[in-house]
Amino acid sequence: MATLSELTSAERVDAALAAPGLLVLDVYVQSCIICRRIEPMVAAVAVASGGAVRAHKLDAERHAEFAAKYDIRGVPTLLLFRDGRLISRRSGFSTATALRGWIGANARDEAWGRSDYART
Amino acid sequence: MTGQWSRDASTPPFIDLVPIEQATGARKEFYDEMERLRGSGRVSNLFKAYAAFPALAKANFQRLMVLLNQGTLSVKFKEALMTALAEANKCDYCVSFHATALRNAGASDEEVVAALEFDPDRIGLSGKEKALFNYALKANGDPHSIVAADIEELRRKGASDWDLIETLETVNTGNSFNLINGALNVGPDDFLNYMKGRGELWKKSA
Repeated sequence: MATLSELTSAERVDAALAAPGLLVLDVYVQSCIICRRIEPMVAAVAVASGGAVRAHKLDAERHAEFAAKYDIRGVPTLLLFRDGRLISRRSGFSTATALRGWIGANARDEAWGRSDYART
Repeated sequence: MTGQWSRDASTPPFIDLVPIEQATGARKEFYDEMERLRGSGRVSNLFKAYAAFPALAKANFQRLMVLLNQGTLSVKFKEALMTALAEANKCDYCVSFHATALRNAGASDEEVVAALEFDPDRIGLSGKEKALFNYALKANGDPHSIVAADIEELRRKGASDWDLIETLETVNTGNSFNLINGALNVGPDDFLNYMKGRGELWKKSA
C-alpha cells in the first residue's frame, strides 16, 4: 500500500483528530510533485508500524480553514498528532527512514515502543 | 498480471511490441543481441517497446548491462533500490520484475517487503549501502534537498564518488524504465515468473 486515504471533509478531519494515538497528516496540493513523492513514504511507515501510526492526506487548497489554523506555508507539510494534539511538524521531502526517526523521537510511548519500528 | 495500480488487464499496450519472430532490420539486430546475452526468447516487453527506436533500445540496454555488470555495489542493493523506486512510481510490472530479481539476488521475502516499505535497515545491506539507499530515495524525492551533511555522512560510511554515481544512475535507470512501462502500458513478460500481489507468493525466475 503506497497511497494514503484522503480526508475529504471537515467531518472526516475531525474524526481522524478525535481518534486516540498517533496520526500523521500529509498536507499537500494537487500540483505539488514532491507531495506525490513523499506520499508512498508516509504510507509505508504507517503500514509498517502495524497500527501504531495512522496516516491520511489532506488537500490544503480544499481545506483552507484547516491550512490557516495550522499555519501551512508550504507543501508537503507533515503534521504529527498524538491524541489529537499537534506534537511536531516538518516540511519538504523525507525518506521513510527519516520519517520513522521523526515519529519515534516525538512520540515515544508504550504503543510505539512495542512497534517493530522503534529503532530510533 | 493485475496489481494495485495497473490499468485493466484487457487494455493492450499503447505501442506495438513486435514479437521476436516478426522483427526485421535494426529491431531484429537488437533482439538478436538481447537473445545472445540473455538467452533465446528473452527479449523483455520493455525492450520490445524501446526497440521502436532501435538505437535508443541498444543504448539503454547497454546502460543497464554496464550498471549491473561493471558496478561495484551489490546487485542486491541495486535491485532493492529499483524495487523501492518501482513501488514509489506505482509501476506494478516494475515492482514484480525487480522484486523477483531481488529474490534471485539472495533476498528473503521479508527483505523484499522491506524494500517495498523503503526500509534499508531490514534488507541485509552493508552500512554503506543502507546509507546509499536512503540517499537515493532522498535524491529521487527532491534532489535539491540533498545537503553537504548528507554527503559527509555517506563519506563516513565509506562511499566513493563512484558509489554516488552508480547509485544515482540506478535511480535514473529505474525511473526511466518505470516511465516507459507506465506511459506505454507495457505489461509483464511471459517468459518470467512473477510474484503475485505484494509478496504472498514469490517465484523463481531466471
